[in-house]
Amino acid sequence: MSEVQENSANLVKIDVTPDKFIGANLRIRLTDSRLLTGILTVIDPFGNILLSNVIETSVDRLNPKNFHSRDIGLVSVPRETIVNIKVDIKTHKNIFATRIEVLR
Amino acid sequence: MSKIMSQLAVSENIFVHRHETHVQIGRVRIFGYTVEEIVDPETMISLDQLNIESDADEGFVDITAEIFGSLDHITDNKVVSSHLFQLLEGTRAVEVLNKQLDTGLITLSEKELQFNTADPQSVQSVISIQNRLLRLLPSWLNNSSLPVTVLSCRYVQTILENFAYYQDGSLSQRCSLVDRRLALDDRKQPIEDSVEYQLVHKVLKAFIIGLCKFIRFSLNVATTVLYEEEDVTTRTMSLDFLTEVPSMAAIDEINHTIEWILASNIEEGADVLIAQLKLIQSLNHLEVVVHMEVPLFHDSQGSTYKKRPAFLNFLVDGLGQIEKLSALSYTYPTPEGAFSKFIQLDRENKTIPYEIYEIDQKDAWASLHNLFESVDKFTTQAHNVVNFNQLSNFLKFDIGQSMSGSNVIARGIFQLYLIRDDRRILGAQTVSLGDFCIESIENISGANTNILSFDDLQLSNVKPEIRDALKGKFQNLMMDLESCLFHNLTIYGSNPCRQQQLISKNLLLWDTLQAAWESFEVECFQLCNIGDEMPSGDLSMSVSSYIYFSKLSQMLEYALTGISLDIYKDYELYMIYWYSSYIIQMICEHAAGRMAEVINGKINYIEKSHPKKIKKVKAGPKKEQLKQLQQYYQSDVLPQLIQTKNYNQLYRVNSLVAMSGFLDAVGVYLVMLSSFGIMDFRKGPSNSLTTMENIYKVRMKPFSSIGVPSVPTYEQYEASFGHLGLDTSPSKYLQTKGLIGIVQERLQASKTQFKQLINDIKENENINSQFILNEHATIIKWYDDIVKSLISYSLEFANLSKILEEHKDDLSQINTQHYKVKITKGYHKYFPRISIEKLST
Repeated sequence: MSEVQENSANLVKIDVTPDKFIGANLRIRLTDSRLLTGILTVIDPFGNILLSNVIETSVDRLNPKNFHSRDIGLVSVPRETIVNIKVDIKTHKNIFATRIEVLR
Repeated sequence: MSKIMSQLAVSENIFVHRHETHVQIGRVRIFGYTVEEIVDPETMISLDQLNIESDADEGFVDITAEIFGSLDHITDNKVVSSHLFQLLEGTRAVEVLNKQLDTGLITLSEKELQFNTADPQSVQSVISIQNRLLRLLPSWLNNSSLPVTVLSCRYVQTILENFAYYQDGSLSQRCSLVDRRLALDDRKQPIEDSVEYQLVHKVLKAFIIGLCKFIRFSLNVATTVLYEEEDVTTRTMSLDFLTEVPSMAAIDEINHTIEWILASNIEEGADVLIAQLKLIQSLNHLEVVVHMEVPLFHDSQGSTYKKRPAFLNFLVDGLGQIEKLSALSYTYPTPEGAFSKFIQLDRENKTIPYEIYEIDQKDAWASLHNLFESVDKFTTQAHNVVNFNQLSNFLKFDIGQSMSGSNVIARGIFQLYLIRDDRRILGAQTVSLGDFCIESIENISGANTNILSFDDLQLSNVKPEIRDALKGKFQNLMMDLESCLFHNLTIYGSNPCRQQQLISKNLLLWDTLQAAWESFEVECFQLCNIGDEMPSGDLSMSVSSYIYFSKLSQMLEYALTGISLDIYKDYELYMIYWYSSYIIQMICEHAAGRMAEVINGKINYIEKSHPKKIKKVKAGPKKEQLKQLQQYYQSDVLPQLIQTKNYNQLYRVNSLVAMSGFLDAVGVYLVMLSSFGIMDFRKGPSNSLTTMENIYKVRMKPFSSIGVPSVPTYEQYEASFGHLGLDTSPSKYLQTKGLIGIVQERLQASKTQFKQLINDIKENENINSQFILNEHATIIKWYDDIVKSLISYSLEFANLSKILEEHKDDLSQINTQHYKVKITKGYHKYFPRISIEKLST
């Protein structure tokens, strides 16, 4: 995990174009702590994002001990509402694999 | 529109300044905001308390910096998007953390959130919940959606969620009202054998099961024959409305519940509970309508009016329950939290937050009443159809003119009732679409159509290759004709706007069919002498004549119905009446000319040609066979032909001639208004960006693809204003006065013709046997309304005459400074009231 993050950190320095992320299944944490999982479909120059097939995960309001997920479809996520964006390791490798080789 | 999509929608190249309070982009203003502004801290439920980050993030890598860092590569200010994604689709995107758009930010009270559907309730409480659901059901059908109506009820949501969750057990067990997700550990357990507990877990549950079953049926109707969002919105938040449960199971459940209520000691309100349950039961019985077989054309005693079949008595019962329930007042409140926006933030939801939608209680009862009443009307009417003309008139007048005002589900049910999956009409075993097609032709062109009995016997003298080719062509053309009629039958259940669209499509189908059938009938006649002859011996073209008549009739209907739909601007009205006059003239000529000759030819064949043919044949079995055939013609076919001939002449032609006179009169009236400059039909609106010629072409577009009759040119339209000579006459006063006199006479003649028609429909055996005349019949009203319109136009002419008299010395005083034209709803949908009003100076 730490190795990947280290690579990830290194990769910031090399050029990754935004189109590489298109189609990736992202996990976006919002400022109100909800998690959105969906496919990156559009990104604009200011970091506003359009995610499709989004599943929203939040605390279950009926029983705060549990999570609750639901499908909310196509979602627009303004940049200022984003706390962080994550991808699974496999997707990460797919996006950055060529770059890692170049770096090495 | 969400922030990002506003950007996409405007242009990809426009630079947008983020973080500004608002930015001007072309003609679109985008309002920016900060997070603090859009998120209500009270609504934020932090996942941190559940440590969601650490629990769920294992195996994930943070790429926030990489993603945002990569944006530096965008130099042209364009968005980066998936090539599979259409940017326009982005306008549907819902923006998170925007209170207007994000359903996750819906705020609910603690009582709404923690509402426990398992808690016992009093009788009054259950009655009020059920009453509210009965109000929300028609609210859904009144251009709303389930999530903001019926599904706003926590009981409904819980039952449907539990039904999906519990795959085993009885219906009652699966439809539990115990919310699995509520943290109930600290709560007091209810006493399960109390009446209050049973009222929820037995009565309310059975009611909701029945309600959901009816919604499932309505959804089926909607997805099969209605239009999404235009008629009904079928969004269910991925909840299954008891699809696998048979309606009978829901009905049984309600029956058991009614028995329980009767046996229990509920003193007050038991009758209301039972009435509510019975109403739901009646709604569930509606499903039988789309499966029932109508004994079409069975009764030869057309005048004997049959009552509704016994198995449709549930319709009367439903109406009775509505009457009973609507007489009560419902003041007892529903339990707090039982109805809320909870489902919008809890279930799958791709839309923005909406308030709960509820129509007026009175309107809700009216809507349910209309549902039962409409179904009762059309089923009772259909059960009385004994001949094809009755069916045709029932569809044209009783359905075509009144169904658009019916409850949307009643419309859908009618469509499914009219044409079944196997293309049988009204489920009648004896009337397939093919039979309907032949009946349809022969009810206009007369029975015994030679070309329709296209068999090997007729083709015995033809070369095999030609025979096969002709047979193939005949089959294809019949199929095309059936498709066209099928398409035509789908019009009746549609909403008025879709009806116009479907008729427009049908016009092209008729036109194509006419061209194909004409050449086929000529080919058959020339190659193998198949086809009916007119008395003159020329080919009569029975099928093409029928098609042409049908096409012209639909063209007229299409043009005139647009008036009631408010499609036309005031300056287009003359155009429509003028064009309608032109069309109706062609129908009159066709009906009184060729169509009459087609039938005369068939009668002539039976009375003269066929007996001559028999005489020529030598004695023997063939002669005997022909004699038998002649007997059949005389006893069966000839009376039918005479009946069709009489009906065509006495009803079809006369009604068209009367209507033609009226349309002409309205046209003249409008030309007069135009000549005085108080109404314009030649220039169009002053701020128009286009010419009147283009407006004319657009309005005539639906007819422009039709080969025969061709659309008159714009020049002809313009010239029509000059035909009356009002603009050029040396004495406009005298010319106008004279014209008014002529038109008044014409109107009077039309009125007499229509009155005669009404009389014939009521009294003349040849005519009234072709209509279903009972308390539901609308035909008399149709013609009565036309007569009323006629009288009102006669009064308008009288008013114009009076104005003319007032200004006979200076007609220039009749202008827009002193007079204005007021267009209001008239007695008949084709004829709005167009009156001249004096302006107060």
